[in-house]
Amino acid sequence: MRQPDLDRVHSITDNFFFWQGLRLVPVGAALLVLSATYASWWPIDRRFQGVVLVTVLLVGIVLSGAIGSYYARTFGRVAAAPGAHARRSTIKWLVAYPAMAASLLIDGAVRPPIFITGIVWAAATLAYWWSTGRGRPHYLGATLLFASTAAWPALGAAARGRAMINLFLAVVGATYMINGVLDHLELRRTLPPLLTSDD
Amino acid sequence: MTEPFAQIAELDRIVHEPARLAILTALAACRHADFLYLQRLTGLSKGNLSSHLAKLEAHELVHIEKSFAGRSPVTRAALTRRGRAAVERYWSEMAELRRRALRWQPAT
Repeated sequence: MRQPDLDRVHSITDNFFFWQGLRLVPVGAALLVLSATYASWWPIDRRFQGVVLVTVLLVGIVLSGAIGSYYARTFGRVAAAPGAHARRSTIKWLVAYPAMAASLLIDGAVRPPIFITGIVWAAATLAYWWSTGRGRPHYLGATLLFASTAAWPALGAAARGRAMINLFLAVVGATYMINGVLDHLELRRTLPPLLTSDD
Repeated sequence: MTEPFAQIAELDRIVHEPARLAILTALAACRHADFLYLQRLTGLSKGNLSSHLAKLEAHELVHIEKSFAGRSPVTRAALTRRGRAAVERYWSEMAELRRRALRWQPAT
């Protein structure tokens, strides 16, 4: 057998759900579509925007279920220890998500010169990386990318407010898709295919 | 044998074996895991993993549950209270051993 690093064994088992990166791909695709529906080149009548978003959401839910089945079939199942991540969940729901939503509202309504959402989402991404076993450097890349968007309005990449939020959603969507695939590749490296004989 | 190396011989051999240690470490991080996950994690063949799990079960360190999901058999393993205590004791002994080994000076 391989001699796996035991910290890594513990960390991956503890955070197995979060290493199932392909689950992120439909979320990323949904964000890209959401961003695209606000773009000037969007070809479908805006009256159908709601229908498009609901369709994307439904497809995402179906795909997410299928991806979950794939992971269970291919990598097995792990049931999380009850209450193991109570602190992380509390911080996520009481601090991270409200801060992420509030930053979007502030950037949309107040339109400050610095894009606050980029900084807040970068911090949330760093916290996610730290609390889910680390070891996946692409989340550090995502953190830097999101943080860099704080300066994009000042650099003229997009107008403050809605246009910048729209661009940011596209960046987040693309990043989720790329990181999801990279998570998956990392999981495949860590849990390689099975032996076929009993040697 | 001299201290602290004599202490190595006192480690719980059931836990200390690398494959079983990996299994126990994984199970210590979750409520339960299935056979397929443990197999991919350890890289063991079915026969070897079964044998290690049987040994751990015989020492009451893990609890094995066999069931069916549709027509497919499902084997789930979970640490028992005794197993969790054994893993914690093992890590504490290893930490102590490391501490003593770092301080150890050969007799002159």
